Amino acid sequence: MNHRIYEDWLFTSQDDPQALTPEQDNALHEHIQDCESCRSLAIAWEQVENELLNEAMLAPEPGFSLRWQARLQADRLQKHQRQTTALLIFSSLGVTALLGVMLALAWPWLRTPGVFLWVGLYRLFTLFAYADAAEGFMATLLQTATGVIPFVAWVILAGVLSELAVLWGVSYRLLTNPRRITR
Amino acid sequence: MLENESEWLIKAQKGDSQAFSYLVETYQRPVYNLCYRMLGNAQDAEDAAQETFLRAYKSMRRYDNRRSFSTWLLSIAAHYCIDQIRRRRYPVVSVEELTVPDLPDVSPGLESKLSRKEEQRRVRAILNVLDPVDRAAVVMYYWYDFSYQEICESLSLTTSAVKSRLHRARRAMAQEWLDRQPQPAPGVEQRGTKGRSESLMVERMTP
Repeated sequence: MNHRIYEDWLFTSQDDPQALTPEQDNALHEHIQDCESCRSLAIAWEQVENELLNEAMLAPEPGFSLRWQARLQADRLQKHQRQTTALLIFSSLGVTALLGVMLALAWPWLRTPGVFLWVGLYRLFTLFAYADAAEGFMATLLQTATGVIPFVAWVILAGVLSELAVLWGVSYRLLTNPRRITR
Repeated sequence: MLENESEWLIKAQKGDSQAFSYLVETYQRPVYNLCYRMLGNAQDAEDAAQETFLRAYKSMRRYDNRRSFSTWLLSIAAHYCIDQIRRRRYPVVSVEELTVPDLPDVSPGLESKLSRKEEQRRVRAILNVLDPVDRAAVVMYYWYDFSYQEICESLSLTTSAVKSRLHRARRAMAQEWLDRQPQPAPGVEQRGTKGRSESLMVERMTP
């Protein structure tokens, strides 16, 4: 005999007693009266359901919320430590990468230092030559300007610049000084 | 009380850990009970309940105020316990070896206390045979009176899946209960609970 269908009906009717048609309900009833194994299963389920419905809700040991607060603190500390460690690792990797790049760039110089020394000296002298040319240009410009601009205009310009410097100094001091809170 | 709770929820969503502590105080019991029914022992249940509240605290900004807080919280607890069971592959421990936490017992007497502990052992034994998701559905249905819809939301399942899982779980639990029944000696007529249940069952099934 196929018991499966009756078992299905038995457990389907637990959710919704109207789920079975009257014919199915009668058939299930007759089958349970005749079949020992299905009757045992039905009785077993009834007992299980009683146990489940009568079982009380368990409570944790006293002080649960205090333990939770401690755990929250520990979790925050752990998170902070993880962030610090990650930052250190990231910085170390950055420094290592930078040093690696610098080493790669300096590698030819390290292999043939004489040539690079001469090239460096040559560039230094070239730089001096450029600076000398720029100085000459500026001197010429200044001489021309002093000839064209009258002395009084220079005095006014110097005065304005001095006032601007004083204004900048005072503003800087006011903005950077901590505010005093008064009641 | 409910007004207070919504205030705590709003404060907790803004990161107020003190307000969240009130919620922990309020919901510690249902969360712990779910974890205990899922994991089967007090120590793991305590850890899981603590972890549940920690996860809830971290996800408070994502909590939708229109949803029931208890459903949301129990959903976190159930998912965490399901993951734990799957990850750890909990060893099958004899029910007799496990300790049972004391319940606040209103009826005095050693006999009553022992009887309740025995009941708890039996319940734990039949829950242990279930798949973790089925177990969560059973716990939510029988301990928290969750509707199918609430179980669906909590376990991210469809209604038909929940019904099917509960159906399967009931059959498995009944079968386990039968298997655990002591076999009667041949020729001895069975008495007591089973006899009473049988007559009640036949009576109930009579149209």
